Amino acid sequence: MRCIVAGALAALCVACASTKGAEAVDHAAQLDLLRAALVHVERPDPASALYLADASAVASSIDDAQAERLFAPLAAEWLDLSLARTKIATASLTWLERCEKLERLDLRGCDGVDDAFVARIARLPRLSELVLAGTRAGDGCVDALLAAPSLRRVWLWKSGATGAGLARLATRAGLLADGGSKPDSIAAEVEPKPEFVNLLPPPGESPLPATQVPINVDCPVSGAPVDARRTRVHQGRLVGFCCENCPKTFDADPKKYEGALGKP
Amino acid sequence: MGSFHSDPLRAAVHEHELLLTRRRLFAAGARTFAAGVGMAALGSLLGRDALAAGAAAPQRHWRPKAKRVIYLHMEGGPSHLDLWDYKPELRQRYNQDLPESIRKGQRLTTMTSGQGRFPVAPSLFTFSRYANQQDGVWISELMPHTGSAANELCFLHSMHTDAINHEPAITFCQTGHQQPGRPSLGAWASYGLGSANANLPTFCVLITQGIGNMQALSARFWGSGFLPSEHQGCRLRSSGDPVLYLKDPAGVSRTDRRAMLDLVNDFNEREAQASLDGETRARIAQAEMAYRMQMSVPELADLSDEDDETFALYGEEARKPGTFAANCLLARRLSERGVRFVQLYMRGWDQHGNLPAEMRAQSKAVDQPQAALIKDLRRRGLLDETLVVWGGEFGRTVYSQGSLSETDYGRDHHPRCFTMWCAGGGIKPGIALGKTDDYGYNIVERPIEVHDLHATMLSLMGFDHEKLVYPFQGRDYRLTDVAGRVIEEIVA
Repeated sequence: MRCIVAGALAALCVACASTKGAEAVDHAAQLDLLRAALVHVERPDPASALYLADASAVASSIDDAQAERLFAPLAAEWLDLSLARTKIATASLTWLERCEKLERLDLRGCDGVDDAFVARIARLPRLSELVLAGTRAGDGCVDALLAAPSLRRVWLWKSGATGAGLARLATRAGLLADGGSKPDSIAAEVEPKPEFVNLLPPPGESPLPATQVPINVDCPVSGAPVDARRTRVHQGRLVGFCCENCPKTFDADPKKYEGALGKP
Repeated sequence: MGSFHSDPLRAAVHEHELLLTRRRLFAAGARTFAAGVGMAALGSLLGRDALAAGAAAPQRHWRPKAKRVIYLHMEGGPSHLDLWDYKPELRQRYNQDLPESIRKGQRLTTMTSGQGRFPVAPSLFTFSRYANQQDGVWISELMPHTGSAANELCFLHSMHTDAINHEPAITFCQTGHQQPGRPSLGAWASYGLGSANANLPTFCVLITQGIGNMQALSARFWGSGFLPSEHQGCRLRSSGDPVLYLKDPAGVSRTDRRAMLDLVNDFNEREAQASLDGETRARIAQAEMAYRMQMSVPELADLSDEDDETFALYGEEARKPGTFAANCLLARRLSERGVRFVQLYMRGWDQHGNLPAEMRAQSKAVDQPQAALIKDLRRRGLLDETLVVWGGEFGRTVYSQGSLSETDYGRDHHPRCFTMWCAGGGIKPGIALGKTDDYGYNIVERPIEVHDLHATMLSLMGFDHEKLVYPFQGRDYRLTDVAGRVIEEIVA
């Protein structure tokens, strides 16, 4: 138990070590605040004291004021933020610009995110993945994205980005810009219509009927016309049935129905 | 034994509490004992408030690549030979007997063990080679849309399982053990990852009725086994209300419901404190979840905010609740709302006979939607952190069950090899792993056990499968039991 207490204290110290003097944040209180607001928070990497937050449960109720209250105090400690479908806009930049350790930011569906917004967050030193699908960001932020120091992937489907903007982004080595129109894999080769050979069983082995045509016209169980797809091999003869259920009935007691098939 | 209490009354109460605790711990059996000791220790350490907040998710062992999982289970065991495992040479062996050198006396089900012959049945369907990150992958004409997403898919052609019949095989696939009682894959994910959206269940299940022969789907396939019951999958129904009894009855306002819930929770909390029964707290958590779901589920199931372009992508069937297309769309909506594990079941892949006709229909139902799901997740920036897994519980035999013709055949269960595919969530895109022999009967390269897949899935979620454990009946249990190796070749 002492180990557990020591571990918990050590983790707390690591978390607090990144805060300074008057700016020190009561982590526990802030995490409680986030969780009470139904924002998911976790430490995804056991080797790091940084946090991930996902606001998807309450996205529609998070505006700039809420975001400031919830996320700003831990600005320096966010690793991964999912603010998709929230109502944040320019006012949230005051704390987002302080997220110097942020690596992934999901702004999918945020209508308040535009070129000017992206131009400012693109400067974040560690930002490597940025989701802008469904935002108002467009070609106006391409220069900022091209200059982003660590950006590796950006998603721009249903944003304002045009083909020309995406083409410019594609010129930067190591940056993958997904505009939602990634070409499909193509069928590079199509095999010809299959031809079956060796229709007959190997010599000396002919337990299968020589013909694939059922010996009977009417179903031995129901008396209805035979469906050629419903067959059974019985005593070396191909027996047809009217439906998928009659073979099961037949199998349960073949002798009962053999009379209807005539002698082999 | 002397008491440290100077007040005799307090000492007596303390003794009584100790006795009560001991009695309850032992009377409730090993399960409660294990959980009880853990909770008691935690209680001493953290105090009541920490317990009241519920057990925290285990710490990950490394940073996860997958935040969530969508598992598309094809119930019945789709034929790998007619979909993914291209065997053109079989065309030359039509109706020949399966050589003993291939079968090697391996067991068969009683559905075909009595057959006089085992005639080779090549696939009726033509295959095309789709470009991927390697030298292309051959895919059946039944799955053209999936072929168009081949650049994102990782095919595992050498899966094998121990079970030969549906029930134990699905149980094995979904719980890591053939016998019932273990927690399901989704429950382990829920236990490990915890909830990312407090308004929705962590683990959701969606079922589509198929066209072909369908086997029973037991709720234990998505059960929590010995894990706390809050980790069991929540099945969303395909017609009417997605969750039964979610609406308040006529005359009961939301305020009334809240007041009622508070009262019931108060009683339950007292019982939980007195009995140390973790299940009572799970009940409180579930009641609170149901209350929140009254708001979140209608919004989730309301597809009116999806545009025509989305329905064009998934297919018009996506407008009909319960179809595989609708469930794929719902899976995307659940995933983008942070639900950790979405399990889709597509029933009807058990083609003992009439395979060509039934597989055409089955494939038509799943092909476009599953490809759409991949593409939709990708363009929304979700695919790289969402692991998608596709597969059945086993494959099908190369020999025909029942009569064989150029237009019709059936296939029996075949556990020796089958194909699955994965995408996203830290999986290398556009590759294939493993090979089967010319008959698609035995594995000749890189066998992959079901436990290996499970170990890999947990690894992508940030867990060492040997260390994500839960104490039960005196020992630590794992999803992978005493087996499983991460398939390193497919991890990006």
